[in-house]
Amino acid sequence: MTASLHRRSPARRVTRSLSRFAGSALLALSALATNAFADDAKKPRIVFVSPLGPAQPFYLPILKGFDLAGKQFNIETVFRGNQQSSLFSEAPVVKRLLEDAIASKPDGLVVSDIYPDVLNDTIAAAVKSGIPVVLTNNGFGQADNVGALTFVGTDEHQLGEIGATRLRELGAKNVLVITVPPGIPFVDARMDGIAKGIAPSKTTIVQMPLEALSNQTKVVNTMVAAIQKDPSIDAIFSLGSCCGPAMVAARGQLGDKAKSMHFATIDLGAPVLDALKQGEIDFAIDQQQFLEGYEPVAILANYLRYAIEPVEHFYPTGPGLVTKANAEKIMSLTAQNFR
Amino acid sequence: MVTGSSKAARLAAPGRQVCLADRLRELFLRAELTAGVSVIAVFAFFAIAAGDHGFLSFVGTKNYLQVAAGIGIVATPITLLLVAGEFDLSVGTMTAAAGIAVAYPISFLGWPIWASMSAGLVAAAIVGTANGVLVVRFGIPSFLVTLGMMFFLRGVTLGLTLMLTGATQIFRLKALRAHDPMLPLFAGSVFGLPVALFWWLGMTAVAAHILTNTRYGNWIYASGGDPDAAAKMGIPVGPLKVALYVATAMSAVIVAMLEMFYVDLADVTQGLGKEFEAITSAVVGGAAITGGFGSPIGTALGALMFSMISQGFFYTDINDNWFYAFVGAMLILAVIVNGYTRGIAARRTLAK
Repeated sequence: MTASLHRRSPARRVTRSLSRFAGSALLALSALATNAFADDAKKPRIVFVSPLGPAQPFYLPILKGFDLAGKQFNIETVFRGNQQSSLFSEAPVVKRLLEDAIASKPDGLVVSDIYPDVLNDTIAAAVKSGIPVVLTNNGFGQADNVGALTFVGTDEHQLGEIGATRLRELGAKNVLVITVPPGIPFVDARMDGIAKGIAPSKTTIVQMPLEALSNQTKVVNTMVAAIQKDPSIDAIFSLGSCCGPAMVAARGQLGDKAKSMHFATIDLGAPVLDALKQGEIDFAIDQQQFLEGYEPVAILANYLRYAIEPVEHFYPTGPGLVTKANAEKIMSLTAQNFR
Repeated sequence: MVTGSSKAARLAAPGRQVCLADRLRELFLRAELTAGVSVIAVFAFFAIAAGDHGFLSFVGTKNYLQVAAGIGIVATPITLLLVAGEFDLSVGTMTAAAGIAVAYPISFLGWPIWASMSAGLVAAAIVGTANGVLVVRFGIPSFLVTLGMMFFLRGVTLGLTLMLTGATQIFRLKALRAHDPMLPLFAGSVFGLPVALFWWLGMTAVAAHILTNTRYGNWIYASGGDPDAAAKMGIPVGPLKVALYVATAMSAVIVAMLEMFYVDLADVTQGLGKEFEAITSAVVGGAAITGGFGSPIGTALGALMFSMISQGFFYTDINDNWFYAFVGAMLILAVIVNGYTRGIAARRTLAK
């Protein structure tokens, strides 16, 4: 086939491949159409309500998983999240999104239960009205409280504890923890975990004002300031994917001092993976958030079609450890937003 | 308008002999000086409260100067816009858009910095012209036009970046252009100080010169003071405002490039809220939100004070939970010092 193609003139080759492309496009279109006609009536619709969205790099794999599962399981997937900002939407905003989603009478609901105190009553009411719910990303320990099928994600406390323990084992005595102000439950859980895992070493905590995250120069310089204020700091730990790139830049600013320091973060993103590959960050705690988009759709699809119910009310997606050793393999996948 | 520039005061009384005491009082009426007093007050506070924690050190100084530059470069053309009587709320988002517009060709098309920067400047010119034309042509308050532009641009930046790259961040740019002759302009340092500082000083000087020493400066004052009268006098108010909007958007390109090469990252969410930092700096520096008055040097001092407060905080022993309370209180205090200094000078002048 290839050999015969080579003998043809380039012009003919183009025409031929064009016509073949047109042919396959038609085929694909007609397949789509038949699919649509055949399944449109009963294609279930699943709505995903979240305080974050595509502007937050951490979320891209979740959305990728959500849409991919939708295609594979023939489910209509609708995302209702924060489209514009990389900051968390506030509780009332998420609550309204959730109420709107429920009012649209979806066949299934996926919720990132970031503010259980505010959202749980509404989620429980949705369950009572007959909408099956899967919690994801946020909501560890809440599935039973609201009657959700399960929670897909991680124990945030554990992410913090494992990271802190590992830093301590690497020899860190005073860890600079970059975080945001308290009040968001998963942030508080991670901080509690860090406090538990770090003892008897100590932490120096810097809370970045949320909007300062939109100015990475500020984040970098604040890290440098903290280390200047307390030169005994020998490690930096970023509480989330927000501050990975800034941490690498701060490493550059610190010069020779950085060589004896350790750097780590919770959550992956392409820049963090690259820094891991280059050996600029020692390790990252991973929660494979792709699964947090993918699994809820799979679980709901099987529940809606075959009444298959998860037995465990916690579907762990992490924590996993990423270091220089396995970063390269994962890196090639990030380009397609799987991690 | 008691607090006119010295030039305006001279114009008002052309034949009058000016003695030394008058000149001194006139000096104290200037926004630059009163903002300067606030800066000194804030500096003294941190020198006492956090001096032994590194605030006074070279790194500490560099730290807040760099943040000040990031605000000040944008705040400079914003000041001219305010003087001309207009707002620009889209400039923060423009920083994110410009970052992507410059980073995309560097990372994905292999363009040199000059070409990528041109792409960013073209994007800025389009946004600035759109802002300006909408304000001038349709007479919509600039607050609303640029607020709309802020949302629109944010969405377009996010959507386009995801469409083109599948991600929201573009990183490792410096390594790609390690030998680019333009790189030191954005990533270098002069005398150990970040190059951003010199951009900031340079832009402040140019804006101050334009505003006080050229006829364009008079046009800007006139457009903000009394737009109808300015138009009747034959001042091209419309084109002038469009040009100022373009300059503002282009300043966002400079900031975007400086921050992009500092952190080695362009991110669709960068720069949010910068518009308010810029406007705050300008107002602290003596600009009137209602138009007709403002000073680029005052704005530079405002940006310096703002960054000193927000970065200096992390050198103090105050618990981080109090960050906002602290910034708010310091800002109000500084503005009071500002107003008090100006008030004394003004009273003295009136009493004479």
